[in-house]
Amino acid sequence: MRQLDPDELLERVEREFRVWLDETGADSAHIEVNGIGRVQDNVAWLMRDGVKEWSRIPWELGSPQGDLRTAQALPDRGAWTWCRLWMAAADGVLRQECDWMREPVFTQASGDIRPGPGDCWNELKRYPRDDEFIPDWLRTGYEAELKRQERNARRCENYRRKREQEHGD
Amino acid sequence: MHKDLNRGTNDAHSDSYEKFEDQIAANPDNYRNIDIRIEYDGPPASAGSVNRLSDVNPSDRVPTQLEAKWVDENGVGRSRNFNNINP
Repeated sequence: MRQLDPDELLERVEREFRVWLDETGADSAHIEVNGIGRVQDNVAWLMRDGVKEWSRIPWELGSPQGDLRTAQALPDRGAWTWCRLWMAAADGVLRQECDWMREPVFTQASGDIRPGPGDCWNELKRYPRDDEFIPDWLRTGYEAELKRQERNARRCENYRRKREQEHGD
Repeated sequence: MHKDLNRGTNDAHSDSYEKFEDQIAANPDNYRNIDIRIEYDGPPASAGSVNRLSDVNPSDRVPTQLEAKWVDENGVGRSRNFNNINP
């Protein structure tokens, strides 16, 4: 059974952050995550003498870190859509900052990717939220997808009825 | 692969792996040194006795997570995780 206990995951993430810092000799390591539905986009960097260096997340860290969003989902506010994880080599303590309301944006040169209606639908299906915790961007996307599904259901029903009539059932 | 990860319809699903493949195909220069890891929930039940992938129980062949790493056009290392667990 896949281990999704948030405390154990965090311990594992913390251990792997320490390994990452040991292996690179950096002063601090940072990961910034944007997530929606089933996907998360991560950017990572190290700081060395005040200089920022883009970095790859080591595989052993990426695996538990990738499960954090699901493991840390709460019954009333769902899963965070943005999070920053960081650790300073000086104290070896993992720190985390999360935002449940921020619209997750995957920034890239070819054009930022924003959540589509299907993503918003998936997000609320997988990680339901109480009404007060649904920001406008999420509500709008969800309602657009709901309308689309209702339209499709009506279309299917009309088609089915028409076929019945044609076949004289 | 879960059906949600296999959708590519317009921009309704930015969270699909299919969409990710489309993005790479459309902008190959923005995705260099691509490295993808596919994770499973442990070895298959029949690991000690099978010689062929087709003898492995289909449910043991379903990945739990796909993690893709690449370097973008600015030399920044990026990564994306796709959750394949049902539901």
